[in-house]
Amino acid sequence: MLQILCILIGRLLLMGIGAYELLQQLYYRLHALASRSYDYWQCDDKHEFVFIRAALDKLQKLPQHLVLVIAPDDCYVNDVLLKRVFGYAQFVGIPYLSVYDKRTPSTGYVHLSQLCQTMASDTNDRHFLWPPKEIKEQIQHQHSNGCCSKTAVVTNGTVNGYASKGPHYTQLQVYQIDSADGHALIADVCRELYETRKSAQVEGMLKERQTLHDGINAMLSKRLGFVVPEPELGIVFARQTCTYGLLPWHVRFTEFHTHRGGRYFNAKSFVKILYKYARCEQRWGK
Amino acid sequence: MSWVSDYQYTCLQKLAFQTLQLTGYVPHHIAFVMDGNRRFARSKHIDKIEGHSLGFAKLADVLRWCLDMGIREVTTFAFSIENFKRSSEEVEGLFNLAREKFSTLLAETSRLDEHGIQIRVIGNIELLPKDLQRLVATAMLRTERNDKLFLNVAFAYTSRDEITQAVEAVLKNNNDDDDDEGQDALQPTDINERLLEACLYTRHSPPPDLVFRTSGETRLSDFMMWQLSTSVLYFTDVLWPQITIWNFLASIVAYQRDRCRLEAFRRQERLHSVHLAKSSEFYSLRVQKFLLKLDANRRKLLISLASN
Repeated sequence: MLQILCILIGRLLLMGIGAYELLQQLYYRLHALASRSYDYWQCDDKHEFVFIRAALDKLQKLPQHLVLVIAPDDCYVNDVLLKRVFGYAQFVGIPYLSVYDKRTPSTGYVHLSQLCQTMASDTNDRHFLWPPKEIKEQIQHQHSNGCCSKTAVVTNGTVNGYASKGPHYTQLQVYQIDSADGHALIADVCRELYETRKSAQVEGMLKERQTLHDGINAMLSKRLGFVVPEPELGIVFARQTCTYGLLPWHVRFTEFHTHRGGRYFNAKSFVKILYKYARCEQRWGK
Repeated sequence: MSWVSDYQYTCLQKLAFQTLQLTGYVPHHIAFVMDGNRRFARSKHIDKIEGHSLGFAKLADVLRWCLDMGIREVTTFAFSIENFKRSSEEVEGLFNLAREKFSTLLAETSRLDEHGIQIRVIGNIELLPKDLQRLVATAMLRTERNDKLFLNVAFAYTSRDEITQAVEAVLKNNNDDDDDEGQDALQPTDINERLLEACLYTRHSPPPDLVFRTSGETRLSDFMMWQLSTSVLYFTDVLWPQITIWNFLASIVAYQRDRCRLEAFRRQERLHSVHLAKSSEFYSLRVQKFLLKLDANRRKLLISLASN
């Protein structure tokens, strides 16, 4: 009898949670529709950058490297949203941004070559610049005529990880991370070391674990093709928090924030995440 | 048992337990990042070590809840290699606490055997003081035959160190053999993520279903980074010594809700792992011999540490 009661309560609980989530999702979608309509009516995004500009003054620190994680079942992140996020990141002065999209082309995967300018020196088509040259000139023209007219164009991003006081027009460096850059890459590095295990270099690495650790670190950076700081902030676009196999070697101290699928992502959402990041205290084990 | 408390449930708590057990999936393996002991100590104006001690008492409660919920494996992040940067006073205090708890554990091995609990300490235990190494190794050897419930304590652990030791184990695998070209030598084609996973400290454990971190931090702090690619991450603002049974049950509800959404991804990863194992001859004699030798070497190390 008690078991039947428990099962009944459990089913009711799950139904209640399901109903709440459905209503919540409905609310988010209506809110997104209203927000998108408002933004469309605004005609441009000047008001968003004014908002970010005002918020920047209150931020104590900014990440040097932001990573976006898109869940395999997410259907809301598209090229429009990515461009918006790139624009915000570039505006606040985050120098590096990575995108880890676990979807397939049939489920919404966005190849960054469609949005960004490929780096001339990049041979494996995964390192890009945002904005592409033509949009950059357009933005500079808009900003010099519209908002932020008092601020100068600066060539540097943040200084020592601290928020600078003005907008930045340096192109954002964007990286496309693949599934093969995670566990498989570490295995590739191990295989490469194994094939040359009799060499003096590898034998030297095996004398002390820290030396081997540093060697693996260097080889992974070389294989990834981009030498950037480890991601300090991650935004997970999903309904639950999971790393989905993102760079297990590199994201050990990354602060993860989940932006629930279906919610509208705008300047306010971005600034909220930056505030949470600025408030967190990184103790590095101490 | 000192490591598992005799928690007295109220009727409502018992009802909640049974409800969750009967309605949804209970995670097989939970990993806890027990964060917030020092902040709790500061808020209560007590010594940091007292905060850690209260944190251990809370761990005992949590292990009881896990046992009663039917969770078969628990991993706790007790001490990171990064924590050696703390003051020597605090580090020594933590080691003293560990000495006390492991000594008590060794006095209760009969009760551990009764419940079938196996203790595994994962991490670079050679970084610990010799007497603590002896206690840890003895606890692991005394309970190695138990196979009902598993408690993994990450001590002197970071994920990078774990991955590095896995790579080291692969690179050093032929050191005992005279003939590198012999049949038993690993081939480069044998080396893939499946093999590396089998060389980690957690090689006999399934990946965690749920990672539970307290104190409001939303990072993983170099804990099981390789293993938790398909895990539900649950972050809560409450400090570790303050968590209640309701925080724990909320995490189970969150897991039951999120599990369905992650199932397709998990299935895909499992299939990929199986495919990788088949295509790379993971089950070949030479690879299995290598892994058996790895287990044997680890056991030999534990025996030598236990007899220090």
